[in-house]
Amino acid sequence: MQKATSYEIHVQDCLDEKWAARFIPFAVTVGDKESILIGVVHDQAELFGVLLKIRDLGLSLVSVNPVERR
Amino acid sequence: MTNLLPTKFYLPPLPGGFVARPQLLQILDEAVKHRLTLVSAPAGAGKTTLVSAWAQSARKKGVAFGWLSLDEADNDPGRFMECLVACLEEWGIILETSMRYPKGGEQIQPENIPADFIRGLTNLKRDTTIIVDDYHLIQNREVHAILEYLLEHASLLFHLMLLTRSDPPFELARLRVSGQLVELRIEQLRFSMREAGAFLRKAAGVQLTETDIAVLNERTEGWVAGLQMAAISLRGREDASAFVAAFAGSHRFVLDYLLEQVLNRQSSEVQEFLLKTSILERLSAPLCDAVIESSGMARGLLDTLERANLFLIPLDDERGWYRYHHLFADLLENVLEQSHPDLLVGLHRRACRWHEAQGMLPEALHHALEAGDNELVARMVSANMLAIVEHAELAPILLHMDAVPRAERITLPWLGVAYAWGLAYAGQNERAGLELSLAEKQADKLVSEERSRLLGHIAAVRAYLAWSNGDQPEAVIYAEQAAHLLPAEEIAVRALNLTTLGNAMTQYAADTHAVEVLEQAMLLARQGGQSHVFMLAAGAMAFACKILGQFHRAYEVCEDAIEVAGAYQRSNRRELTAAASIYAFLSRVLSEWGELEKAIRVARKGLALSELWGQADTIMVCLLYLAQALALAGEAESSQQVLQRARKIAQKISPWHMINVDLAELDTCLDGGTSNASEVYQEAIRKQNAGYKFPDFLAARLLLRQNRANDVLILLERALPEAQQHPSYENVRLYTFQALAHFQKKDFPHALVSLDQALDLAEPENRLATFVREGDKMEKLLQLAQANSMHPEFIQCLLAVFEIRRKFKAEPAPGIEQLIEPLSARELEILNYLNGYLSSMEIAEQLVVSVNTVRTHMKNIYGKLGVHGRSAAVRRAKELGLVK
Repeated sequence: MQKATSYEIHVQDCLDEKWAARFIPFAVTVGDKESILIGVVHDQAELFGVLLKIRDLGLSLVSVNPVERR
Repeated sequence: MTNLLPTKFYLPPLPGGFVARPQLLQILDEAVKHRLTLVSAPAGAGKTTLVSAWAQSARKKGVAFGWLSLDEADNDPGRFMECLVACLEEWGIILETSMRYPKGGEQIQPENIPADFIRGLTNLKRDTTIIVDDYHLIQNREVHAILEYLLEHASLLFHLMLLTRSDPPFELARLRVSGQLVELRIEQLRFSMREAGAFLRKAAGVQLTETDIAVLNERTEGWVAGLQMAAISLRGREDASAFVAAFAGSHRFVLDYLLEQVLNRQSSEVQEFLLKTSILERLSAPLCDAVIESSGMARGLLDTLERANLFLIPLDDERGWYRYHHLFADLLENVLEQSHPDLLVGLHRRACRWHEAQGMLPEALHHALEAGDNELVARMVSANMLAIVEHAELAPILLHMDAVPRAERITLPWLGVAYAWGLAYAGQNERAGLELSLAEKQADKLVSEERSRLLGHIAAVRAYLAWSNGDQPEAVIYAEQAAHLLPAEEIAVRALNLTTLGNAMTQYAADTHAVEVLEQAMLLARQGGQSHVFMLAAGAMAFACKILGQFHRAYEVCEDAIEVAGAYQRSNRRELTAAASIYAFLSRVLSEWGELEKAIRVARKGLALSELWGQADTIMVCLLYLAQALALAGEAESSQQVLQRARKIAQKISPWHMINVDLAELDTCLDGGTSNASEVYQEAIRKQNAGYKFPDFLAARLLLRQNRANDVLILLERALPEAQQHPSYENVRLYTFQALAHFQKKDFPHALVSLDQALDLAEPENRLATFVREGDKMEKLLQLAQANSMHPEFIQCLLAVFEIRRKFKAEPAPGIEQLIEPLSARELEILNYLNGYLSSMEIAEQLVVSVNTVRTHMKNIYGKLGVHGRSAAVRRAKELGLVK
């Protein structure tokens, strides 16, 4: 089994904090011109689940990066 | 039950404020000459509107196409093929196929796509485009593979257009290089300044400066969903420029910002309606009334939303069903979850209750699960358990339950029990048993009454499973346990349980007790108005009568049940799929009476219904009796093919079913004619010599075929006295074998004595097939009996059947037969239209009725003709001389 990994996803639009519930297990931080989603996923399927939600809202993806394990 | 399937083929009408985009339509005109057109762009980019605008104009030009909107449930190869075929038929794209495709959950590989289907697509007469909307909902690799296969192998006149939020995993590069692919992507779909201007003027009804339009179009990046929300927010505003400036200055997610503006512009009534109904996949006025707890306000509100272009898309011509634009619904639901999380449970609960009352059980279950209310799930499921598993749509419900995590299922024993019923019906006996053990462990958590009800259900499923596994003693024990535990008001389950008990008793040792139990089962089901359980009980009764050799009584039971099924069909406007086994047993009786053509037709009708239902045991029975009728009619090869299908299904259910198929195959092979007869026969001899114990009648028949007359007589000396203890329909055959064994030994006096006993038993029940299937030797023996003036009328009848059979073999009769139920004048009229190229919608226009009325007629026509689709109906009607 794959170990839990932290990911940081940048999207081009400024999402409000109220969207956080939609992106569990990711937390949403609003930046100046983009929003940052950070969360821990257990496998790739979970990550793709979040990416599909981003697609379904018509948001533009900037980057997806694994974050070093704490 | 309301059938929502037709809404999937409904071409969405153009929304208000629609802006024609001629250059894109032109691209599509060109595109459909290519193999694949991909309209791939994010949600809200205007894909559906663009393509439906193209389709509306294509329809006027007579271009052939079909429209299919996908749902999440279609992400399954069986279900997808079903939708695809239904779409082709709905849009009048005639396929030369009458095949049914495996129901959801079954494996389909591209190489297994029925050759009929490919052939149908090869025989297209003109360019035909299949448009599939929301293709991104498909993630199942097998579905992708099916479409890739079609792109490769179907006729050059076949074209595919996919509307999707992400590219399908096809070899797009190869298609692109070979010039077979045209793509429309976000760059082309974005609104230009000019288009945005036209759109905003039309939709918002306000004059905007060029600068404002430019700002709006830049801020929304030409995204039509954004532009539409902006337009709605602008409607009736005097300070348009101020709005535009504020919007441009905001860094927030465009849709978030705009949705807030849109909602703020609505009356509080509309706002509340939008938020509360956002939980619904599909909306109708009565459903909305139930969910928002109003009496009759929903109709007006839905009309308001449609007029205001508030992302409400009609799904039929009658304005019965709607859905929200998916993106809009997502946004609304998010607002609802944030602002009124406390309302969610109540909304889902009410939605659940409404769907339940309409018999829309999959939807009801969905909302029960969404409500996260375990008690509701338990009550919903337990109250409707049988209806859920009996209501034809077994596959989607199983898929739904598969999706519930096991941990959650464990805490909901009722859900586990419902799942077990479903699995048992689908022939997945082992998994069903596992679910029951899990559910049983939870029983202690329930209070005493609820506990015994649950345990009663569990015992009833176990009885059913034991019967299906061929363990009759165990079935009897569990069924008696269940009968003791189940409370009086559980009429359906109690009647079903008695049916299992009767069935098991019939198998175990057929006697009049079994018949009494089944009489009780039928009575209970009838009193409780449980038509589907009544069918099962009557089917079991017909089976018991057959085992007891009471063919006339079996016939009466079947006739009675078919009447009940007809009444059900008339009042519910859908077929009672549980009637499948009735047709199977009726076919068995007719076979016995030598009415073979009718027997084949009735068995096919039963098979069609059972496949629609997906109930594995019933499919088996229908296949076995169809094979028998075909074999008796001399159609040995078809019979063999039917048995092969039965074998495949039996393998999945239980070894007991395999044995039944083996025995049926051997009996059929001994009737003669099949290509593998000698193989099967040799194998059976080998088994018999190795000590395998066949049922006495088959053992005797096998020995007789080997000319071992003495062994036959020894065997029967033991078997006949035993048989007299247990009345069975196969007993007659023991006497016929005895007669034939004596005949083989040229001991004519004894042969005639035995034959006389067989005729004594057979004549009252008119059992012609028992004699006719034994062939030439039997005919000679009967002629000898005729010379001795035995049973003159019956023998005359028998010899006449031999004569007809000879003629039938020499020159097969054309299939001009009588229908079980004649077609009405209106149905004949529609049948004639079906023989043309009009779609059901166009037929409706011609007849000035609603398309739903046409569909209902079509369904009835299919039912009466015993076929599944339009092309099969036309073919059948031609055979019958009903159309030219």
